[in-house]
Amino acid sequence: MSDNQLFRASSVMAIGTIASRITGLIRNLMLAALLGTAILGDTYNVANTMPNILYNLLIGGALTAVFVPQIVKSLRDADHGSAFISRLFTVTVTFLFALTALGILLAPKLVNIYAPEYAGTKEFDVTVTLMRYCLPQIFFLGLFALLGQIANAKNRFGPMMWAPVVNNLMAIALFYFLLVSRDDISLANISSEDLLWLGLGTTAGYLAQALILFPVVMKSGVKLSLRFDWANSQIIKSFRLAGWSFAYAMISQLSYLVTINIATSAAVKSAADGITTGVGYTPYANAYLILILPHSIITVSIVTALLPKLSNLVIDKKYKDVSDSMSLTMRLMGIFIIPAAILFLLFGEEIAKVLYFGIPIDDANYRYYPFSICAGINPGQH
Amino acid sequence: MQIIGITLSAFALGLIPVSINLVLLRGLNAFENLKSQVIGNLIMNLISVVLSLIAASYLEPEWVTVGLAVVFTIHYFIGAGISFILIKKHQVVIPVLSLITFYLKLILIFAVAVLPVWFFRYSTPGGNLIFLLLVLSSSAIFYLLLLKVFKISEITTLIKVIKGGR
Repeated sequence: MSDNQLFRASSVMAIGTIASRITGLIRNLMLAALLGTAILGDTYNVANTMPNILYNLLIGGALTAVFVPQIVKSLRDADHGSAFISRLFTVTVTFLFALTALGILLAPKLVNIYAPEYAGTKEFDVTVTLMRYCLPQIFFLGLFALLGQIANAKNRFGPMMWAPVVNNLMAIALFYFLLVSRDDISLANISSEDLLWLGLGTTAGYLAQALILFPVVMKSGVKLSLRFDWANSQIIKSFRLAGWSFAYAMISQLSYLVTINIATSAAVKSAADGITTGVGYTPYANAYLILILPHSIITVSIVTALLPKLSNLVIDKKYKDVSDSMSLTMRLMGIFIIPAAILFLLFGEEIAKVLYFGIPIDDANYRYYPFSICAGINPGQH
Repeated sequence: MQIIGITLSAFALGLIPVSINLVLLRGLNAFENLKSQVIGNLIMNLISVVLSLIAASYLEPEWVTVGLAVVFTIHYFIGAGISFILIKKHQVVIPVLSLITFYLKLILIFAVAVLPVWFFRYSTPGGNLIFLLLVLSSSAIFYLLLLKVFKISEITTLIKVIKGGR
């Protein structure tokens, strides 16, 4: 793949990411309108973030980046990678299934770890229930990532970036339905049926997002099947690398755990002082959604297309080309990232006000502080 | 508002090391070097945890969210620095000085492009949306023009890619 092809592929992904982020923002705004930005919003966000946390912690890093060079290498095998990819697929879905089941079982413990302030309150019960509905997202996130990486290794970059749009549209439809069909939902009056719709409805979007990629992988020429003969040197190496990836993610998530704990504790302390909006984890998470836009659109799109190319160059021992490709990528990326950072620096308040026009001004203002500060940082992601 | 401005000035640039770090990490991934990444990540996150706890201890609760964002920015700057050192061990030589010079040039060019509209921010018609559209459109046009004037070759590469040329 030439640099021009790489950046054209990145452009397609960037457009898909823009669509995904715009719909993601609408989804988040509708969620804020539905649940508010204080305690009830926090319960949903903690519950719905947990699949992402567990996924990123245990397997996300491996699926996002670690397995890609190996998939690329296997494409040079006589069977064009079918045996290795099928083994990797089987190992991964088995692990994802076990992880999801374990997560559902241990949901109360997870809530205790991530939001200890909720212990013994209604927030705790609501969060545990929502979390159990949301945790199957781990399985679908993993499936989506693995299928996406196989497609990327075969130079089919677009679908992985477009699939999340479907997920977001489904969530938007769900939140709209709940907004028009339910009276003002609060922590005091939220029903079991509401929780079911919220939790499973959100998870259904992730299911659709993963299923969309199956035909793409099949059409790319990879013959995917279930293979349980895992005693293979490449698979063992994959496990070893996944172990390092787990250690990496564990470090990031422990650090993030500190952040969530501090943020939720601050919300509870602020509530005691009479401040119930614009504090805690929810404004942080909402600001983060906006913050990550330029990083997701520009950097992630370019880097996703770059990794299979770098992997091929490393296999061929063309280190000078690796240096050149990475340098060019950073320079081209800078053309977009630098203005974005300066715009956040100078106009964060205006951006936050425009994007959160439907929410009380205090909330919008508080979102704006970290928004301008972080400018695209994804906690726990690497 | 003064505090907000100061805070924003301190942290908005965090976007830059976050993006650079991701490129460097993917380079390390291509070499299947996960061990070094883990060590680098450990160092940057230890610093993050210490700074987060300091923020929680010294800031008023309503400012803690802001403080945590500050901590993230700092730890990503550190992380990018570590990643540059790690990738060098694989015979990948990124011209760091040239990259910094290039980024500083872009910062200067965009600052020149956006400053006029920033100075007149209180005298523009309409609300925030119109103002933002004005900021985005005018700064984008001036920025592109200035990139051409200063002969930034990367913009030519980009235009070629967008047009589909080789």
